[in-house]
Amino acid sequence: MSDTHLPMVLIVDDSATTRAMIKRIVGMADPAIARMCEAANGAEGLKVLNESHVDLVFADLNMPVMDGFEMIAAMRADPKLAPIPVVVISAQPDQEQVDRLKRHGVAAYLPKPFTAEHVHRIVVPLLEKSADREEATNELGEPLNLSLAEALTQALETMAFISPEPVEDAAVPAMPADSRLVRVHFKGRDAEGSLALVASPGLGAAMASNIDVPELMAADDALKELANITCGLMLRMRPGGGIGFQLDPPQLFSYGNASSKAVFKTGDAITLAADGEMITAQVVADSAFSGM
Amino acid sequence: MQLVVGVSDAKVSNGSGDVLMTYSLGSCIGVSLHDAKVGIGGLLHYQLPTSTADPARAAEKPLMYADTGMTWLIEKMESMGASRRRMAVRMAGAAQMLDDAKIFDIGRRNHTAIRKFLWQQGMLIKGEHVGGATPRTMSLHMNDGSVTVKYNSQIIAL
Repeated sequence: MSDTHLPMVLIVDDSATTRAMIKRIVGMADPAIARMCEAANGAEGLKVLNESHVDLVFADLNMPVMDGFEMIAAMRADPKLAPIPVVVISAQPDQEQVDRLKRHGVAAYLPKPFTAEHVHRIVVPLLEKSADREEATNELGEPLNLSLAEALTQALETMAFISPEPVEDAAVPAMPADSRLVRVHFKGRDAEGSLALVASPGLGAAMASNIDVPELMAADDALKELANITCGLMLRMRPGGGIGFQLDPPQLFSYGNASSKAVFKTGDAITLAADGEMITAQVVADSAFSGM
Repeated sequence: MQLVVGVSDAKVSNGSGDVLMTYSLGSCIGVSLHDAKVGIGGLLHYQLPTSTADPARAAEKPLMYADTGMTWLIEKMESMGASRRRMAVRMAGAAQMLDDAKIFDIGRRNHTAIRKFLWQQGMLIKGEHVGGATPRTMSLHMNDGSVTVKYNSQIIAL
């Protein structure tokens, strides 16, 4: 079977890192199971959907220009696009969000951080169904209800795949001098501890060795991508803030805000939410990073 | 023939009558690779997550670490005609043993290390049985590439 007969998967996410991860994961299958294309927001996604044949869509919810809910609603209103199964890439959704996704006819959601195996468990049956031209069934599960400790552990483990530096002790002193280190103390119902994020211009290159992302990435952008694929998407912000770390004042680092810059300073208050619980944290270290 | 894989050890086989086995997987991890197309399999029993912690020791005992151990096993199997793209990966172990100092949590770090290695290689995990607090025995049956794990006197197929 030649490649052109393979189903087409569209990945709609404003994070280049997330798009690269999903592309790589779907591409791990041997023999190949799909061809892939990308879009950076809902409006771009609809353009691709209208111009080419797509069999399955991965959609982020929080995106600039047009968010995931709007895009899915537009798909459902178009008889040509309505039958295409949509997998929502999301932070751990709460029950209300799961219900809303169900009402939108979403086929499944992929909670972040995700593993390659998890993506395959979702994608393979949906692609088989799309080959049979059957209507996708609703496979949304219930929220995972991870504890804070579990959520943070998963986030840190995912980070270990993307960039070796922040969690591998041996590699830490090798970080370039212009790195950014943020250490956050957190305290929740079941856990207390600290969380460190380290990013540098070199992090782009480190990430690029594992996945296809731009090698030249500013430290702030690298930090944002890290937070996005790991903790940022595990830890939900207050209403209106989207997803990510929220500093007080909130405009400092807000996911989906085009002008956002991660500027963490000692003394900044951070509000995190995990498992529906709000946690107030404080940045206790912020430094030009030169080893621990 | 039964081939026993020791601690920090690996064995490969292309004999359909062989069974590769490893005992006493505590916080260690056993990884089985099997290329069904050419009937080549291998089993690794490694102890520690990463060779960067002690490069000199890793050069002497590459099968002690996840990264150097997996590299050795994959290259060995490929030299026999297997392909890493086709290898089915299954693993067992990574228990939190009671006598381990919890702060190190070697089992969990061993698991994260192998997942990262597989991610870098673009290899998917076909099956795994990890965690808990009890040692495991793992077997790779070369006749069909199946893997079984003995855990708390139960036999589990991966």
